[in-house]
Amino acid sequence: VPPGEPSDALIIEASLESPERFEEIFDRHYETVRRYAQRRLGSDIGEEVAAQTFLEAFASRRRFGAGFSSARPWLLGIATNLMRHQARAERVHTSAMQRLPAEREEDDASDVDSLDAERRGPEILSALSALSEDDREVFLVFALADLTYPEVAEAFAIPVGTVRSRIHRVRRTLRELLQPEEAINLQYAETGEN
Amino acid sequence: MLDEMQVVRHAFDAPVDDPQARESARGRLRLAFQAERKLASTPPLAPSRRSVYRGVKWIAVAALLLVVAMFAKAILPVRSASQELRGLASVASRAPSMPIESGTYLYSAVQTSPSTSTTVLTAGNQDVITGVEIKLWIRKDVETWLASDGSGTRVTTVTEASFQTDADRAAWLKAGKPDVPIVGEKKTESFGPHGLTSYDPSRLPTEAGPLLDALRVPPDGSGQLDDQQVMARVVQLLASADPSPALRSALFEVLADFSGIRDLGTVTDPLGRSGTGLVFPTANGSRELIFDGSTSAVLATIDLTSSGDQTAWEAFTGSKIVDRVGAR
Repeated sequence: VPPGEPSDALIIEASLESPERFEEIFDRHYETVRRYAQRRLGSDIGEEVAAQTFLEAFASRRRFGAGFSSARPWLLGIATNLMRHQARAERVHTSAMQRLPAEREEDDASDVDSLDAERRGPEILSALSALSEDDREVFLVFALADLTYPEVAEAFAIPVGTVRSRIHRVRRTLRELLQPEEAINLQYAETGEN
Repeated sequence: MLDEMQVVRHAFDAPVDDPQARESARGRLRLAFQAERKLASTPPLAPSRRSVYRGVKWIAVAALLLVVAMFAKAILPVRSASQELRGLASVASRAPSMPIESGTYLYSAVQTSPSTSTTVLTAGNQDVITGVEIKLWIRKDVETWLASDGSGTRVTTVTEASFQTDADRAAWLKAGKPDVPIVGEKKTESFGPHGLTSYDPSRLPTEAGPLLDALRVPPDGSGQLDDQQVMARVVQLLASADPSPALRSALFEVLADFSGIRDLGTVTDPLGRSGTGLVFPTANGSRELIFDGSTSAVLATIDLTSSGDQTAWEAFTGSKIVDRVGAR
């Protein structure tokens, strides 16, 4: 919130008397919600979920916790709830992303890291699909919407410790997946595992 | 080398902002603002001066239309329902075909008459029903994107919402303004193959005789449907499906051979559009269909009780082939 501007909580409180004030919440957070929803569901359905998030938030704004300052975690929590009804769309979108070839030739690569990310993308998406719904949702809102641990806890109404352990578990799984094979062999040799 | 967080963010790349989508979302939100103001401040079905005036105005318009209709009937030749239907069959046979190709959708839009929405109040624990109900009149727009395999998406938008009685509004206020349907509220449903239509028009014959035989076979294949049931199927096909011009024409030919259908001549649909009206008997009364005489497209259906009271209507406002769900 820019200095001197009212907090989201104050705006939402004011919107109980003057509904039009809620448009300030839309202006502040639509882009964040849209990007998060479209990253997970694709362009069309993500757009629809983003729009529905604000309608749902407006209808239930009396339930916005007075102790919270920013509406961002609350809105992303609502968006995530709406996405649960779009599980099939998410599977289709993820599957399409896994199939998408890199649009450029390797010879044109100016950024080796981006190429590597493109190459590993399908593996990562596959690993994320195999996670439990709880782990995946917490991790994705953390990774894709740049929320902090306390904000993720706020979005899902769960303890910060639970958020920390879920994200740690997912990151460890993904790190192992991304490790070069020789590094894994070395690690196993050091620990004596087969 | 990128770490796992960077690879994930790269894999879930987001499309760029679409200002049109943003403004559409903003518009829906503004409709919700207006609806809340309306719900909070307007006593719904209280007969205001304006609604009394509107009632008088409509009575005057109806009387005028009746006089005009009587005059017209006296001087104009009256076509029978059968003639009217054969005329529509001829128009239908010349209409352009709108096949749903792979990767395309048949988009259709329907506006509905006001219907009752009931919210049942619960006490504290969401499972305990208090017995108090809040009833609203709501109107909806229904948009459908139908794929060739009968799958698709349906979006239902509430376009009007008002309490049915002062008691409903009082109950809503007393209960702390619980969530009720509001203008702008949308529900999106996705359907798998055959989820939106249970029939396949491409499998029906396009000659009136064989078509009638096919339509008489019920979905479970046992016995035969009577005339009224067949008429209901034909009406459903004409109003909601994407039959080819040949099939559409044959459907009108089938109807032309039935007795009991009345021709209403030129009538006005619930949205004020002019069309050719025909009345079909149904199990509970009758159904009026209003066609665009120049294209044979169904403009609206109106359900009536046996005493002629209107119970519900649907008005069809758009139908075209689009390349993606969401396109209009």
